[in-house]
Amino acid sequence: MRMHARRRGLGGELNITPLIDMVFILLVFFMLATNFARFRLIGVDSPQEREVARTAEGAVVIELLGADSIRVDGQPRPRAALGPAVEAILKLDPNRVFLIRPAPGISLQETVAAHDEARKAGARQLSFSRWKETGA
Amino acid sequence: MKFLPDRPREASIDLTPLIDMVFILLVFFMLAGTFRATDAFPVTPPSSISRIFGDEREAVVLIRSDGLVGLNGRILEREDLARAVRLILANDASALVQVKADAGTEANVVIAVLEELRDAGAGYIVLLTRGAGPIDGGAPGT
Repeated sequence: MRMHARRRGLGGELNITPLIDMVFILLVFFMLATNFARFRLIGVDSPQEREVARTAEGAVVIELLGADSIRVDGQPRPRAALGPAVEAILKLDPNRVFLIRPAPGISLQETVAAHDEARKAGARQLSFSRWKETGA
Repeated sequence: MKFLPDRPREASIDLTPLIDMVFILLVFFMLAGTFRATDAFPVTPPSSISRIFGDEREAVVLIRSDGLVGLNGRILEREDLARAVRLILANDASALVQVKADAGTEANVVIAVLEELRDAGAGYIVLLTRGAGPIDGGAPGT
């Protein structure tokens, strides 16, 4: 018993300094290398939507012409009228397909904002389409 | 000289709580974070109110506002993009292709890339956007 007590008292402890060093290095590595960014996703194309786009003869085309002018199904409207116009169309046909067609010079942010607004108004089937001069 | 032997033998600080905390932080960062290659060039995605959340996955197509494209941390020529995506899809046919485009990019450029990806055989394509609401107001460091 006496021997045991003496051994402990004289510092038979494990040296944990290298362990702490390694753990700190790992911690710093994981802090710098990991990424917590989360995104919001907008589904723009899936086999189902492709089918919809192919069969959508009567799709409503929303053309984004400028900061404050759009055309819904060929009718010129102010930008603020997008939501109500989509709602009015959906009242007649809830399954209507909408194609958002930005004019040259329109930014992606404006296009995504229009997509958001149409979705908020209740549109379920939305797709993007490239600008065609003749399209209306 | 007489006082020297009276110095306390153990003057060390107790490191146990510190090590505990460091271990907890280490486990947190190991489990909560995700590893990704850093982007080839900085891109600020547009903000939206979409309610679908997600992380970056295996195929992230980057588009800068001047039309420069990249895939998973590499800058690519526009013509090579479809081939590179086809290569990814050959390994994993159901791979989700994510498009991370700058908010200021001309929309028609992005739509043209989307059409190219579709022609390359991508089954599911999504656009990555930042949150516009107070829940997650932007993603720093991306």
